[in-house]
Amino acid sequence: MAFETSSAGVSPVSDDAETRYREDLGAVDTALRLPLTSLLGWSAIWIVIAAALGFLASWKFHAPGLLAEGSWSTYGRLYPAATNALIYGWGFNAAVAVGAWLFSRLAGSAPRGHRFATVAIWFCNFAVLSGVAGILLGESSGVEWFELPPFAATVLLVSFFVLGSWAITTLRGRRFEPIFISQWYVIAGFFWFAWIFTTALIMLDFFPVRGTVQAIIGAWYAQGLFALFFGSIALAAIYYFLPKLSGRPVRYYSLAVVGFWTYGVFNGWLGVQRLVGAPVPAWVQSVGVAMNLLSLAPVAIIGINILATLASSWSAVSNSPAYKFIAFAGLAFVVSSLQLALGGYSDSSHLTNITLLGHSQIFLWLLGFFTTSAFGAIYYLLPRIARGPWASAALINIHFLATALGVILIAVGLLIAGNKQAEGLESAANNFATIISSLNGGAILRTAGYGLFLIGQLAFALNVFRTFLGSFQTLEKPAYVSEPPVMEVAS
Amino acid sequence: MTRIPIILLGIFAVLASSWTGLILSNHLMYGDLGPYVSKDDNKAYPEQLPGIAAHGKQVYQDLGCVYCHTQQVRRPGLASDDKRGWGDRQSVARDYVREERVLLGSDRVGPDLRNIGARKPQGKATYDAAWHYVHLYNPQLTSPGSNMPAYKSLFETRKILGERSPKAIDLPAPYSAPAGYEILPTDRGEALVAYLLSLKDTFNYPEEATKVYVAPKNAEKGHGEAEKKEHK
Amino acid sequence: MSDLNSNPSNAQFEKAGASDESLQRAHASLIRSHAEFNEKSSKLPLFLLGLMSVLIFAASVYMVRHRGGFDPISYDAKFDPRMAVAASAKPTVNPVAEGEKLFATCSACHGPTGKGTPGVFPPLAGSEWATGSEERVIRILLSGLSGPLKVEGATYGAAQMPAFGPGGYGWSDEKISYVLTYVRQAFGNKAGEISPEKVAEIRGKIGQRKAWTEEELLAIP
Repeated sequence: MAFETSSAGVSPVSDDAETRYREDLGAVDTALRLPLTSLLGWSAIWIVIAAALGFLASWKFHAPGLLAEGSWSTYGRLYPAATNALIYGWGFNAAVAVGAWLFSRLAGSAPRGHRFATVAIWFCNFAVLSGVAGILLGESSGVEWFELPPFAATVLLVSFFVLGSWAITTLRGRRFEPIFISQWYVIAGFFWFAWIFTTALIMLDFFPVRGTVQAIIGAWYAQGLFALFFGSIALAAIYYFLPKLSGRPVRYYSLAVVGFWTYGVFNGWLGVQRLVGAPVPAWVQSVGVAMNLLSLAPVAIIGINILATLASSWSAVSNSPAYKFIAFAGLAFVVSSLQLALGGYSDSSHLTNITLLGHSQIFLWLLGFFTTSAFGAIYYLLPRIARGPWASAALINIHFLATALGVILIAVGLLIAGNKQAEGLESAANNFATIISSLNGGAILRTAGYGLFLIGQLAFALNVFRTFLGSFQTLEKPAYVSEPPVMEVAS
Repeated sequence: MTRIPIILLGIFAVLASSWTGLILSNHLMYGDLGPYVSKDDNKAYPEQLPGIAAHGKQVYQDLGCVYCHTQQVRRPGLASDDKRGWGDRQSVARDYVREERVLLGSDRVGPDLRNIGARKPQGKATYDAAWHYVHLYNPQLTSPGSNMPAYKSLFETRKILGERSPKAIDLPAPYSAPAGYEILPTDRGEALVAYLLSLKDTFNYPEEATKVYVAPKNAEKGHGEAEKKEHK
Repeated sequence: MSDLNSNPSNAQFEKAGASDESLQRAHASLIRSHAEFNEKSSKLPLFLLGLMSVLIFAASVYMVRHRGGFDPISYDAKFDPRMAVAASAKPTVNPVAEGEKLFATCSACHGPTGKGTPGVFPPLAGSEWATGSEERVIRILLSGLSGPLKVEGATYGAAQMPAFGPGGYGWSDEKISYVLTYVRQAFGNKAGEISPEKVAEIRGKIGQRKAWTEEELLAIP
């Protein structure tokens, strides 16, 4: 349905209340300014670090002779450093920033205690920085996707509790009941992360459980991290920005609630499908596969929401980088989820689970879905925090193209390499020399993808810092003081 | 639908289901699995790692060997693990009960290492300590085309004082140490190789051996017998 | 700054397509009214219901067939505890294969091909002691052998054979029978296999004793 762009839109609320509402939103962004500036600044630094480490690790994978001097530069140390920088550096900062902003915005009230929050953010980031350095120097905890040394992980958890409490204070002065699905996803994402992270820290680092129960916890934690934390925040952003940017409501919105609950339940269980063939009880492996099958339901529902909304709102938005990123994220969600569902149900999953095919799905999810969704949100919210427009549109374009192409190359490269690897491992007649030479092609593609990705992130970081530094001009009123259009719904 | 407490309860229940069903249940069911004491020789399997091998496990962990090597053998018939000499039987949970950090791995860019200490020599690969040292120093010497990095930090080159050290490694011509020098493993290198040589899961736990699929006897007797022989 | 407000949305400053409040109100009314399902595509919820039912059914069937008895130490999804109990209490072993593994201990002295060392360790290949009387060879393994021994015309005696039974390595009847069966059928030997029951019988007869000598053994048929 058409929406009105002039300020003479129909507004059922009186002008007085509207102005107060506008000022409240201004107050929200002002209250969020200090913590979010720190979070966004650190996010920009971390995505560059993560991209650089990922690029280096990917290159060392097929060319181990490069920089062959110290043990810090071997693949076995660079790869976990890269993934931890991506997850606990970039991912954590971006998810908290986007989640807190969305939550406060939709509640219409500002959280309290921004100074505590900012201190926690800086502590956390220094801890993660020393943690990633620790991984390069040999202090890895040994748990995949959770290699941060325990001291760094503990500081991260404590900071998260502070930040979570800070975000929750929004509920006190809220204007609206949380009826919009994005708020549910944010509350859930934060709660679930606290739980899975605490479990992993206690049952794997501090009081390690015995035997392969560690593998079960590790698999549960990994899927919880990807889907229940990062996925929730990314979906919150997608569900908010698709209608917000286009002015058209989410299609089949009444299904979204069912999608939310089924998404949460099944993703908690299907992590263990990555353990088919491993020395964990057979019923655990089967439960993972069965739940993976059931997870087609939330994928279908959320996929329908996203794809139908994209189809209906495509023409309404033009020249919007945020929308492009959100659209890319939505498509990546569908592809990556189907990749996981179909891969888990295959007959040879005991073989494909230990190839790069798993990595292809995970990195498409982390980089193609979560990261691009966060970028979309950041392109919208950062000018409102910094009180000034983005410094350069050219850098935004470079960022989008380089990120999109880079992610596609990474995912496709890993898919090709993983397929060749699975084919090779199937028969005992293939020795490893032939397997490696067949998968190196895909590995080189991945490196090329990371190179592009790194260029994009350098453009992004440059833009972020230029925008913050250039925004010393303060606006008298928040930039959006003019009334945005009212969303109309077809009846 | 709009009340926060109900939503929070739901969010709690959602994760509680998998936490209870997967983690708590398995921890209760087999989290206290202990070693099996064999009546034949009164030894407890899996065996305790000797000290230097335990130190080597730390080296294995911090160098990140787990990102290319798995330590989980598939059962014969399921995959080609037994044909590659990676193990006669599948890995079971009891094999890992003594390990503080279980490094199952999730990617096979290199062979599975669970039974590398028991692996039979194959051609030039003898899988003894000397072979491991050369392989770690420069993987291309023993496995051309491999993507494995050269772990030169596990070795040191030093001047020969008097006699050549018995620990010095022998490398083929273009790579050998310059005249008057020898290449030795450092403590970390020795520990890592000791750990690798200690990796052998050769004991057959009787209880686990019976818990495999057995084809029904009435169908084909010959088949049933053959199946039983496979699953030792 | 008014120019930001008057310009249309541009890449450097995204403008909202709708206000937050109207967004929330619009979606709340969508949920209440199910407006979109009054259109032609109202088959969607039915389709999704059907999909969920099919998925639940398929997942349940999968779980029933691949539950591995819910046994915490079963790693085979097709394992069925009822069949396994009926099938075998003890998995059948191949004595020669087991004996080959155990022979690694013997090869330390007798050599990997059973040739021994002249004057020190007697050979097993073609040895009349190894392929001959069961009674003698089982006794040698259970309690060991000391003193000189004549094998195929040559004398050996520089080393003592340790006991593998009680008082020595403590090998079980099964292990001794497997390694003896292997030795009697390897290295070109062609003799009969030895059963664990025979080993147990002899063990019961002799108990724990010191190592045998050649004369004592020759006295036994």
